[in-house]
Amino acid sequence: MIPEEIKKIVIFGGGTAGWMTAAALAKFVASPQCQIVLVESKDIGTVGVGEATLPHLRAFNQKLGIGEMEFMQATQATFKLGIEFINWGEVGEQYLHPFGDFGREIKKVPFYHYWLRYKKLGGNLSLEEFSLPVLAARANKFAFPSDDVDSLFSSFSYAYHIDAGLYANFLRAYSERRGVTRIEGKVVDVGVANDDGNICSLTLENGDLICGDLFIDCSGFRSELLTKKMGVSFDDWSQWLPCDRAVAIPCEGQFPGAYTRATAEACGWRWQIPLRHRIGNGYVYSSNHISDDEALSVLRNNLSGEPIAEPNFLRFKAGKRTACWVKNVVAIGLSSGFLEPLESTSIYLIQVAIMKLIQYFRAQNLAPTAVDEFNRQMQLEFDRIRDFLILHYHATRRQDSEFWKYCKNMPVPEDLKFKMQLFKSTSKVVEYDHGLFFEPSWIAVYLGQGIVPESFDVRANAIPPNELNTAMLNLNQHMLRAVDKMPSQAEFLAGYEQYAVNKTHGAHMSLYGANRMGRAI
Amino acid sequence: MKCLILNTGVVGLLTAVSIRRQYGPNVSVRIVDTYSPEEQSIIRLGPETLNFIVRELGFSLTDLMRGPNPGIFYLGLQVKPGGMAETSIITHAPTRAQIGAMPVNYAVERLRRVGGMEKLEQYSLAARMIKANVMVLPNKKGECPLGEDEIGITISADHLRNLLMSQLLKDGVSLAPMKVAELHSENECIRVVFSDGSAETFDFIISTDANFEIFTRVQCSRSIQWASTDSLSNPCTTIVFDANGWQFTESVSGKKRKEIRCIGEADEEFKAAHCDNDEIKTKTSAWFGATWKNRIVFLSEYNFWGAEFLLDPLQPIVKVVALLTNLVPMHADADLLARYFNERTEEVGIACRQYVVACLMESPVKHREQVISEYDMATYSARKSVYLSTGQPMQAPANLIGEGSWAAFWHAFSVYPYNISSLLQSLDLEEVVRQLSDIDLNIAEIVPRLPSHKYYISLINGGEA
Repeated sequence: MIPEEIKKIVIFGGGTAGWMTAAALAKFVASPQCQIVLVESKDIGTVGVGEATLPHLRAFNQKLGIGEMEFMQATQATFKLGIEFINWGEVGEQYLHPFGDFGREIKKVPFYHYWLRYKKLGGNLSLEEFSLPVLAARANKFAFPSDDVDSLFSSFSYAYHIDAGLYANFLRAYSERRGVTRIEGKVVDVGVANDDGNICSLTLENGDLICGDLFIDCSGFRSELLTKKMGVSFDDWSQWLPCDRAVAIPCEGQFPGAYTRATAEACGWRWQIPLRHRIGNGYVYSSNHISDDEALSVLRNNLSGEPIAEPNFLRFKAGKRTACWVKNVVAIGLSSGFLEPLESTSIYLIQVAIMKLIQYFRAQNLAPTAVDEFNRQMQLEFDRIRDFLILHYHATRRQDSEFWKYCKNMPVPEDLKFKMQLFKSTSKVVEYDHGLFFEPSWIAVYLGQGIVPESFDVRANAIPPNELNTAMLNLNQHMLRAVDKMPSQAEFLAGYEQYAVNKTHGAHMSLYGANRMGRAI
Repeated sequence: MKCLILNTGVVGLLTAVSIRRQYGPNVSVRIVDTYSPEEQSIIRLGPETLNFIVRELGFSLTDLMRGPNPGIFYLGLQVKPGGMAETSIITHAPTRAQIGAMPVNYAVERLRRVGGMEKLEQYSLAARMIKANVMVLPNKKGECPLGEDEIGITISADHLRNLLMSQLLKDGVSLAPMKVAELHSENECIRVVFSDGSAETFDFIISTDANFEIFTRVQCSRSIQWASTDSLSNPCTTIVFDANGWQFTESVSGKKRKEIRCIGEADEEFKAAHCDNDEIKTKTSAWFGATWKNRIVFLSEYNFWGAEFLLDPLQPIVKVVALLTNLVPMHADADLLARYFNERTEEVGIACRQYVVACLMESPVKHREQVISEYDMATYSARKSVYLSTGQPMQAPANLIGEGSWAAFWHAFSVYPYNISSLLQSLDLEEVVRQLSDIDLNIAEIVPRLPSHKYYISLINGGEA
């Protein structure tokens, strides 16, 4: 049972998840009748997940009334138009998964069918040559997208690379200005009420007792409340996502484009995330296949500049708690589950959980069915991201290490197996109504990692070969000209206010821009 | 690729035109006419269906509206939930107006908590146009800011059928008035033996004959009454619920059709309340369904059970036809396509049933539990509980009934949440009142300037609109 009236919400843990939650609750829930408290300890480090974000974060900031420029300056942010994947399908191959579409649907037939036919007819241009965000990202150019669906600029969206620690600090200031009370201290005990099994208090090292009616578990991997106290079990997905360690080192340096880079290594993959003041680097790896020292060595050998901090090692297991909200405990962030940062989904999952919590939270008489619906929707979010991540590992032709042999041959979830078979056999991408990754993302990874369908939609035959070839070349030239006119990312950031005057793009809950509009958050 | 379509009812013909339109000569379509209309009918085309027919199939709105009994506009459903409840209007995009970046229903709910009594429809231009019996399509003059997703029409089903049929004849599709005698599954195709003894193989068969072996059957009784009328109906359809059953009234120019229904066999009370005994027919109908099995796709006809409760009764069919059109001609593993099709259409079916079940459960109709499965009942209860306790909709499958439509549904049946959304709590109450008042005044300025529905229909029939 959840308490009939919630007068005090206690957030256990700071970091990105804790302060994002505090900020949103301060904005939408806090009132003289409902107090928000956050307990954190300086002695416990934060993981600082999600330096690379998804476009949805813009919608979160907008809801909170945070200006983009203020946010970007506070977090040393750069723009992000997608993620580059190197060596995933096979060593030497690369592709970019953009926040946007490839080409334009013609007569209800997705563009990639025309491209498949164009290739079959001997065309040279890759699918990426028909994606404005890919071309712009590689040229390190940037412009705001447009909401005018007739404009080429409506075919993409954008996110940021941020310093997650700075974002947490920024949101802390935001939250404290709005009445959130921060309590410094290490939690040494958690009190559980005898009558209903709800958590009733946190005891700090100094003996202080923090009582509350609803507890948000943002304690990270430790999952102090949901797992350790409420005993919620863990759905282990490590058989499909075998990486269980990461080591991170930031370094000095510049980066060539407005994108995150994910380079597959022999026993995992390396990230590079360009910020204004540094590059974030890390190696996510499988401890069954490589030692910590060897992984550190791989990472060090690939730094593009002088390291500016000591290596930070992380241990994790891919998977999810079987419920994110039990009794009066809601887990948000790593305490609810972990999916590796391959597609920058960590902050997205935090954000989605927060917004769903606010949607379903009521200070009085909260119904158990609302909790069930919250859990059902979070399960769906995790499941769909999980399958998309597994695809990256499984759709490989690499045989150069035991790790990749395992990934190539491992049994995958039935749903994913079906999706891959359907695409290979029919060129059809499974569609669904809710979730994060839609057709353009699946196409990017399928084709980028060498899963090419045996056929294409016969409607793509409607255009005669010569006309198709000319149309494809024209579209590519049109996009190249558009990119050519865009300012560089540095120019854009320097002249941000001037460009922002003409901004016609709102923040949507979508990866892909106005053409494929998602639900407003 | 060869495709056989059984039944030239509206759904069979829509499917045939859709496939022809998309694939031209790449797919050969043959239609076997097993259609036997029970009675003339009127069909409501909601916004998604209308857009599909106009945009995807290429028919003009003017052609659809013309006909022996010209069509009328359809901006929403007028619902009388039964008992003492007031009549409400549910429009196609009922929460178009926004306050504090949230749909307007949140503001109305917030106001109700402090004693406000205004109904959601007060803030819908379409609903106020229904009441005033006025109509104009969005135009360059900017007279009326209705969205495309707010406009539907009501036309004669036979007129629509004739239009579709003429298009198919123009496209050279063969229409044969014969029956199928035998079907034989062969290697990656189906051999069909016709009633005249001829035989042919097809890659796919689409059957829109009612198939009660596949779809769940529901028994209901009904009485249909037609009336001629000189006055033109308001641009809406009316549904009235009472303990005996429900009646819905649809119109085209000059004609009105009232259908009265109850669950199961009509009892004496129903007969006494509604009609003479000899008018009542007990009919077995099916829930909406679509299934792909052994290269045969079975599709419900549009008058599947409970369709009359939906704002856009053909919407589920249109979704399935669009999906089918994308899948049929692929030279691929039919089992994979079948699985994909069945999973997607199951979602459409669930979304459809959820709304129909909610209509029944909120109404006083007798025997309703008899036709509702345990699963549907549990989903309904959960949905209502979430709405009551949080003011939030449950995430619906298949994008069939949007969050706004669900909100309007609850309002129409006088179901209001006892907790309102936190997302609007941060907005000052005075600001909410002011913004609602602005919307109200804005609509009040627009509506009196619009032409009458009758005049506008006459313009369309003169080809001037």
